[in-house]
Amino acid sequence: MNFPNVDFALLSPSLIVCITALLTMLLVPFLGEKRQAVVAHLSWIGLSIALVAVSQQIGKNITTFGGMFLGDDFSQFFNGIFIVAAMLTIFTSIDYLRRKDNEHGEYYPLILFATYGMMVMASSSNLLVIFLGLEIMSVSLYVLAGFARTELKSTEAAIKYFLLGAFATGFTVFGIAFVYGVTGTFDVAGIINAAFGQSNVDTFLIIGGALLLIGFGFKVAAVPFHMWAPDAYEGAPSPITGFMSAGPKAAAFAAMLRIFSVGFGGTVPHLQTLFWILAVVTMTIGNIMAIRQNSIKRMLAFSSIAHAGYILIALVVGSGEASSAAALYLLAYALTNLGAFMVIALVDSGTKHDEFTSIDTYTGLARKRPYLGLALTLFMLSLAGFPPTAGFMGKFVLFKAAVSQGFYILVVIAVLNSLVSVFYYLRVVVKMFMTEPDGQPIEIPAVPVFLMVALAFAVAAVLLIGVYPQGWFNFAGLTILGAN
Amino acid sequence: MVPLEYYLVVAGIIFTIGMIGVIVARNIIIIFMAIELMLNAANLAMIAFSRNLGSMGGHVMVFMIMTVAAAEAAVGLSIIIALFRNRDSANIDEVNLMKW
Repeated sequence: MNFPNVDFALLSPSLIVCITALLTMLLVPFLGEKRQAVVAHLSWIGLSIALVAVSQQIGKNITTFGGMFLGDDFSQFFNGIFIVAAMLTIFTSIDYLRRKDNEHGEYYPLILFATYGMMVMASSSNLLVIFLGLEIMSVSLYVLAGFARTELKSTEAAIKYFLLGAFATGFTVFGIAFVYGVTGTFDVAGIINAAFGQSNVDTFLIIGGALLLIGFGFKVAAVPFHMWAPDAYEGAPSPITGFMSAGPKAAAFAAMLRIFSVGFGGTVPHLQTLFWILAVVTMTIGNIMAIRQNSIKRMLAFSSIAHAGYILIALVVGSGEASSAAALYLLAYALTNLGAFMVIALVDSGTKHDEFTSIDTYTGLARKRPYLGLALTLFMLSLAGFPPTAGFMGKFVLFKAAVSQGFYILVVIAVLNSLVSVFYYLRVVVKMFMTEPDGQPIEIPAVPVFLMVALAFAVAAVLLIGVYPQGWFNFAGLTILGAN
Repeated sequence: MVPLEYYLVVAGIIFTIGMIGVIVARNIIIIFMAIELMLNAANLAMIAFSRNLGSMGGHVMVFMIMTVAAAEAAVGLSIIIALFRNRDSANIDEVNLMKW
């Protein structure tokens, strides 16, 4: 028997994350109740080593495990997003968990396992491996969503997330079965080979593609598969909500870009029409529903649905430029949203069991804590897409990619939608700066050191991508192995 | 030999039963069982395709799906227990703290 030649250097980023997760998980029971934060520190140290490992793999563009594991720049870019998202989440969580009286070390290995799953997802074009990565990620996230297990809202979020996530898994798996049945392989390149040059695309292939679309539609919370998202986002602990909106969304889109842009790559025009409708409906419903929300977490959940709608444009367009633009958009969105959730987690941690998540809580925040107010304002402006922030650049490159392929109507709808979204983002800013708090103002804790570092990083990154996008976009002008 | 279509029809029927079960059932455990039914329908389809194509890939995938389903069951049942401890009920209609 000949064992395939495994390139461990290529695997190193994800292996480091996985090993750190296993070791820290084993360490948890040996630490006393008071010293659980040690796990957090070991976790972010492991993640920073993995980030260095990722930087060593940029530009290599090779595969290993017989083509099942890809090390192209596309996957390294996404690996970077996942690792940074996990690190910022850990920095946010250390103090949050202590204040919420919920300091259990298992939290951090679960974040690492979820990160590992995302990295596997983004680093493969094989449906089997993508499925495994998807499940490693999802199963960890189900637990994290319900981590505050004595809170009614948290368990409710977990059960809704779990049931609909498992429901979506059923569709994904059934879709994979059909694609496999037609092509005889799990590699997405096989899809294009099976469909290429045939006047009639096999019906089973279209069914398989549609089922995969439903499965991934659930994961990215595209309308009409979005109903779990607001509930899961609202009930989950605040740092986890930020993580859920940044990492898994990026991972699901990375897999979707590979499957639908590279795999189905225009050979199945039926899917393009489906994506067009899905994108328009998702962004419109997301924005309209966000307007009427009173909880800031729920509002950002609907905003994340709307953003998924914008990113779906890249799947309609399906060009290489659009894929890179989507990658940049996801990076900008992840950093912005994580930053916003740092402030939300800090405000929320002012109380032990109730929740400080209503938008009214933010009344007059900027007068008492000007720096926090300014930071949250920056993130809101970035989400709305104002220059010179990362959010503007993400939208700009994405819409430009769509216009260059002639999707004018789609871009006009998207721009009108982002106009609507300005209303609810600025509502928070107006509350913070221009309203006097009535009654007893709430107590907002001082910013702990790690949160300060993370917040400074997020602010700097959002501004840096906003004012100097060339470097990032050139990096996001990525090689996708298997794309033509 | 039984033709491929027969297997696919059976798989499709089981998948549909599972899907309807998820939508109409009110008990969380029943919903979870219905989801497992959907996964097993996919397994059946996978095996049938694999046999038809004469390739082993589908068999491998089925083992992966079974493993994943087991992991999902472990986590899912724990979440259901946590929910039950908080509410003394496994009825999905009562899980309605958050709406719209």
